[in-house]
Amino acid sequence: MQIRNDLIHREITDAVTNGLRIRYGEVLGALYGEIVNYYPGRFLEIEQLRRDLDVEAVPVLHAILHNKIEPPVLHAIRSLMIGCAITGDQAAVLRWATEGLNRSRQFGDEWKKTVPQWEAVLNDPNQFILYARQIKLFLTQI
Amino acid sequence: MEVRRVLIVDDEAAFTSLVKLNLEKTGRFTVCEVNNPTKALAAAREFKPDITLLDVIMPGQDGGQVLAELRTAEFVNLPVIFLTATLTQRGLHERDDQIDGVPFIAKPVEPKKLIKRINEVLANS
Repeated sequence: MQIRNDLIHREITDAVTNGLRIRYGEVLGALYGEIVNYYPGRFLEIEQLRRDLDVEAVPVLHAILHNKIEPPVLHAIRSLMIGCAITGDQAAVLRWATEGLNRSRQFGDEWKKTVPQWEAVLNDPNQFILYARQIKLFLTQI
Repeated sequence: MEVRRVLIVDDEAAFTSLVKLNLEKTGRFTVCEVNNPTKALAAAREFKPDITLLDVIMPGQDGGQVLAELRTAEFVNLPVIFLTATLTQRGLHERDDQIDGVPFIAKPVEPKKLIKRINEVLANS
Protein backbone atom coordinates (compact mmCIF):
# COMPACT_ATOMS: atom_id res chain seq x y z
CA MET A 1 0.00 0.00 0.00
CA GLN A 2 2.83 2.39 0.94
CA ILE A 3 4.58 1.71 -2.38
CA ARG A 4 1.36 2.41 -4.25
CA ASN A 5 0.83 5.67 -2.34
CA ASP A 6 4.43 6.71 -3.05
CA LEU A 7 3.88 6.00 -6.72
CA ILE A 8 0.69 8.01 -6.82
CA HIS A 9 2.40 10.86 -4.97
CA ARG A 10 5.28 10.81 -7.51
CA GLU A 11 2.84 10.82 -10.40
CA ILE A 12 0.89 13.74 -8.96
CA THR A 13 4.10 15.64 -8.25
CA ASP A 14 5.28 15.00 -11.79
CA ALA A 15 1.94 16.10 -13.20
CA VAL A 16 2.08 19.35 -11.24
CA THR A 17 5.74 20.17 -11.83
CA ASN A 18 6.24 19.05 -15.43
CA GLY A 19 2.71 19.23 -16.63
CA LEU A 20 0.54 21.84 -15.03
CA ARG A 21 3.21 24.24 -13.84
CA ILE A 22 5.54 24.20 -16.87
CA ARG A 23 3.21 23.48 -19.76
CA TYR A 24 0.03 24.98 -18.44
CA GLY A 25 1.32 27.48 -15.91
CA GLU A 26 -1.06 30.24 -16.85
CA VAL A 27 -4.03 27.92 -16.77
CA LEU A 28 -3.03 26.57 -13.37
CA GLY A 29 -2.29 30.08 -12.23
CA ALA A 30 -5.69 31.27 -13.33
CA LEU A 31 -7.31 28.42 -11.44
CA TYR A 32 -5.46 28.91 -8.19
CA GLY A 33 -5.09 32.64 -8.66
CA GLU A 34 -8.84 32.93 -8.47
CA ILE A 35 -8.98 30.87 -5.32
CA VAL A 36 -5.94 31.74 -3.27
CA ASN A 37 -3.96 34.34 -5.23
CA TYR A 38 -1.28 31.91 -6.29
CA TYR A 39 0.51 32.68 -9.54
CA PRO A 40 3.21 30.63 -11.29
CA GLY A 41 6.66 31.95 -10.53
CA ARG A 42 5.58 33.71 -7.38
CA PHE A 43 4.65 30.56 -5.50
CA LEU A 44 2.24 30.79 -2.62
CA GLU A 45 3.19 33.15 0.18
CA ILE A 46 1.17 32.39 3.28
CA GLU A 47 1.59 35.83 4.85
CA GLN A 48 0.47 37.44 1.61
CA LEU A 49 -2.44 35.02 1.46
CA ARG A 50 -3.50 36.06 4.99
CA ARG A 51 -3.42 39.73 3.95
CA ASP A 52 -5.35 38.90 0.78
CA LEU A 53 -8.01 37.05 2.77
CA ASP A 54 -8.50 40.16 4.90
CA VAL A 55 -9.00 42.25 1.76
CA GLU A 56 -11.22 39.74 -0.01
CA ALA A 57 -13.52 39.36 3.01
CA VAL A 58 -14.56 43.02 2.75
CA PRO A 59 -16.83 42.82 -0.32
CA VAL A 60 -18.39 39.66 1.13
CA LEU A 61 -19.12 41.43 4.42
CA HIS A 62 -20.50 44.32 2.40
CA ALA A 63 -22.85 41.93 0.58
CA ILE A 64 -23.92 40.27 3.82
CA LEU A 65 -24.70 43.50 5.65
CA HIS A 66 -26.81 44.66 2.73
CA ASN A 67 -28.39 41.20 2.57
CA LYS A 68 -27.47 40.95 -1.11
CA ILE A 69 -25.78 37.61 -1.53
CA GLU A 70 -25.61 36.67 -5.20
CA PRO A 71 -23.91 33.57 -6.66
CA PRO A 72 -20.60 35.44 -7.29
CA VAL A 73 -20.51 36.22 -3.57
CA LEU A 74 -20.96 32.52 -2.84
CA HIS A 75 -17.97 31.84 -5.09
CA ALA A 76 -16.01 34.37 -3.03
CA ILE A 77 -17.15 32.71 0.20
CA ARG A 78 -15.93 29.38 -1.15
CA SER A 79 -12.57 30.90 -2.11
CA LEU A 80 -12.23 32.45 1.36
CA MET A 81 -13.00 29.08 2.93
CA ILE A 82 -10.32 27.36 0.84
CA GLY A 83 -7.82 30.14 1.55
CA CYS A 84 -8.47 29.92 5.29
CA ALA A 85 -8.05 26.13 5.13
CA ILE A 86 -4.67 26.58 3.48
CA THR A 87 -3.62 28.87 6.32
CA GLY A 88 -4.91 26.22 8.78
CA ASP A 89 -7.47 28.55 10.39
CA GLN A 90 -10.18 26.09 11.42
CA ALA A 91 -12.44 28.68 13.07
CA ALA A 92 -12.47 30.75 9.88
CA VAL A 93 -13.18 27.69 7.75
CA LEU A 94 -16.19 26.93 9.96
CA ARG A 95 -17.44 30.50 9.72
CA TRP A 96 -17.31 30.60 5.92
CA ALA A 97 -18.80 27.11 5.63
CA THR A 98 -21.67 28.23 7.89
CA GLU A 99 -22.34 31.23 5.66
CA GLY A 100 -21.99 29.13 2.50
CA LEU A 101 -24.48 26.62 3.82
CA ASN A 102 -26.97 29.30 4.89
CA ARG A 103 -26.94 31.03 1.55
CA SER A 104 -26.53 28.11 -0.87
CA ARG A 105 -29.92 26.88 0.32
CA GLN A 106 -31.51 30.02 -1.09
CA PHE A 107 -30.35 29.66 -4.68
CA GLY A 108 -31.21 27.41 -7.60
CA ASP A 109 -30.53 23.72 -7.97
CA GLU A 110 -26.85 24.11 -8.82
CA TRP A 111 -26.10 25.79 -5.50
CA LYS A 112 -28.52 23.60 -3.55
CA LYS A 113 -26.45 20.62 -4.74
CA THR A 114 -23.50 22.04 -2.83
CA VAL A 115 -25.36 21.90 0.51
CA PRO A 116 -23.98 18.43 1.43
CA GLN A 117 -20.47 19.67 0.66
CA TRP A 118 -20.71 22.67 2.99
CA GLU A 119 -22.16 20.30 5.58
CA ALA A 120 -19.24 17.93 5.07
CA VAL A 121 -16.81 20.76 5.80
CA LEU A 122 -18.77 21.69 8.93
CA ASN A 123 -18.86 18.07 10.09
CA ASP A 124 -15.17 17.43 9.55
CA PRO A 125 -13.22 20.66 9.02
CA ASN A 126 -9.91 18.97 9.78
CA GLN A 127 -10.24 16.64 6.82
CA PHE A 128 -11.01 19.57 4.55
CA ILE A 129 -8.04 21.48 5.95
CA LEU A 130 -5.82 18.46 5.39
CA TYR A 131 -6.77 18.28 1.72
CA ALA A 132 -6.40 22.02 1.28
CA ARG A 133 -2.97 21.91 2.86
CA GLN A 134 -1.93 19.27 0.34
CA ILE A 135 -2.58 21.91 -2.31
CA LYS A 136 -0.50 24.31 -0.24
CA LEU A 137 2.34 21.78 -0.22
CA PHE A 138 2.36 21.71 -3.99
CA LEU A 139 2.03 25.43 -4.40
CA THR A 140 4.73 26.39 -1.91
CA GLN A 141 7.33 23.68 -2.23
CA ILE A 142 7.27 22.06 -5.64
CA MET B 1 -27.10 58.81 33.99
CA GLU B 2 -29.47 57.11 31.58
CA VAL B 3 -29.05 53.34 31.35
CA ARG B 4 -28.90 52.32 27.68
CA ARG B 5 -30.43 49.10 26.42
CA VAL B 6 -28.16 46.88 24.33
CA LEU B 7 -29.40 43.89 22.35
CA ILE B 8 -26.62 41.47 21.41
CA VAL B 9 -27.30 38.82 18.77
CA ASP B 10 -24.56 36.21 18.47
CA ASP B 11 -24.67 32.42 18.43
CA GLU B 12 -21.73 32.14 20.83
CA ALA B 13 -23.33 32.15 24.28
CA ALA B 14 -19.98 32.39 26.08
CA PHE B 15 -19.18 35.53 24.10
CA THR B 16 -22.53 37.23 24.69
CA SER B 17 -22.36 36.44 28.43
CA LEU B 18 -18.93 38.03 28.62
CA VAL B 19 -20.10 41.14 26.77
CA LYS B 20 -23.16 41.39 29.03
CA LEU B 21 -20.97 41.08 32.13
CA ASN B 22 -18.55 43.74 30.94
CA LEU B 23 -21.22 46.20 29.86
CA GLU B 24 -23.53 45.80 32.85
CA LYS B 25 -20.79 46.15 35.44
CA THR B 26 -20.32 49.75 34.29
CA GLY B 27 -23.86 50.46 35.50
CA ARG B 28 -24.53 52.31 32.23
CA PHE B 29 -26.00 49.48 30.19
CA THR B 30 -28.56 46.73 30.44
CA VAL B 31 -28.05 43.88 28.00
CA CYS B 32 -30.33 41.31 26.39
CA GLU B 33 -28.57 38.29 24.88
CA VAL B 34 -29.97 36.42 21.88
CA ASN B 35 -28.08 33.32 20.75
CA ASN B 36 -30.55 32.22 18.11
CA PRO B 37 -30.72 34.80 15.30
CA THR B 38 -34.22 33.73 14.25
CA LYS B 39 -35.44 35.05 17.62
CA ALA B 40 -33.80 38.46 17.28
CA LEU B 41 -36.86 40.32 16.05
CA ALA B 42 -39.12 38.97 18.81
CA ALA B 43 -36.47 39.81 21.39
CA ALA B 44 -36.11 43.34 20.00
CA ARG B 45 -39.86 43.89 20.21
CA GLU B 46 -39.90 42.84 23.82
CA PHE B 47 -36.64 44.46 24.94
CA LYS B 48 -36.87 47.70 22.90
CA PRO B 49 -33.12 48.25 22.51
CA ASP B 50 -31.31 51.57 22.05
CA ILE B 51 -28.62 49.79 20.04
CA THR B 52 -27.92 46.32 18.65
CA LEU B 53 -24.65 44.42 18.48
CA LEU B 54 -24.97 41.94 15.65
CA ASP B 55 -22.70 39.06 14.70
CA VAL B 56 -22.12 38.76 10.96
CA ILE B 57 -22.02 34.99 10.51
CA MET B 58 -24.36 32.75 12.47
CA PRO B 59 -25.96 29.38 11.72
CA GLY B 60 -29.46 29.62 10.26
CA GLN B 61 -29.50 33.36 9.60
CA ASP B 62 -26.63 35.78 9.13
CA GLY B 63 -26.38 39.31 10.49
CA GLY B 64 -27.51 40.82 7.19
CA GLN B 65 -30.71 38.80 7.25
CA VAL B 66 -31.39 39.74 10.87
CA LEU B 67 -30.79 43.41 10.12
CA ALA B 68 -33.09 43.25 7.08
CA GLU B 69 -35.81 41.80 9.32
CA LEU B 70 -35.32 44.52 11.92
CA ARG B 71 -35.32 47.26 9.28
CA THR B 72 -38.53 46.06 7.64
CA ALA B 73 -40.19 45.94 11.05
CA GLU B 74 -40.39 48.92 13.40
CA PHE B 75 -36.61 49.22 13.89
CA VAL B 76 -35.77 51.29 10.80
CA ASN B 77 -33.43 53.62 12.66
CA LEU B 78 -32.07 51.29 15.32
CA PRO B 79 -28.29 51.83 15.51
CA VAL B 80 -26.29 48.68 14.78
CA ILE B 81 -22.69 47.67 15.32
CA PHE B 82 -21.56 44.54 13.51
CA LEU B 83 -19.26 42.10 15.26
CA THR B 84 -16.99 40.04 13.08
CA ALA B 85 -14.22 37.52 13.35
CA THR B 86 -13.80 37.35 9.58
CA LEU B 87 -11.53 40.39 9.51
CA THR B 88 -8.48 40.99 11.66
CA GLN B 89 -8.24 44.05 13.93
CA ARG B 90 -5.58 45.35 11.54
CA GLY B 91 -7.73 44.78 8.46
CA LEU B 92 -10.67 46.57 10.04
CA HIS B 93 -8.58 49.42 11.45
CA GLU B 94 -7.33 50.14 7.92
CA ARG B 95 -10.97 50.82 7.07
CA ASP B 96 -11.62 53.11 10.05
CA ASP B 97 -13.55 50.31 11.76
CA GLN B 98 -16.38 50.50 9.30
CA ILE B 99 -17.53 49.00 6.02
CA ASP B 100 -19.70 51.09 3.78
CA GLY B 101 -20.36 53.50 6.66
CA VAL B 102 -21.56 50.73 8.98
CA PRO B 103 -19.58 50.39 12.22
CA PHE B 104 -17.75 47.10 12.73
CA ILE B 105 -15.81 45.66 15.64
CA ALA B 106 -13.41 42.76 15.18
CA LYS B 107 -13.60 39.83 17.58
CA PRO B 108 -12.15 39.20 20.10
CA VAL B 109 -13.60 42.41 21.48
CA GLU B 110 -11.81 44.63 23.96
CA PRO B 111 -14.46 45.85 26.49
CA LYS B 112 -13.13 49.43 26.65
CA LYS B 113 -13.11 49.69 22.87
CA LEU B 114 -16.60 48.25 22.64
CA ILE B 115 -17.99 50.71 25.21
CA LYS B 116 -16.28 53.62 23.45
CA ARG B 117 -17.73 52.50 20.11
CA ILE B 118 -21.24 52.04 21.54
CA ASN B 119 -21.12 55.54 23.05
CA GLU B 120 -19.92 57.02 19.75
CA VAL B 121 -22.66 55.35 17.74
CA LEU B 122 -25.36 56.31 20.26
CA ALA B 123 -24.11 59.90 20.31
CA ASN B 124 -24.36 60.09 16.52
CA SER B 125 -27.74 58.41 16.24
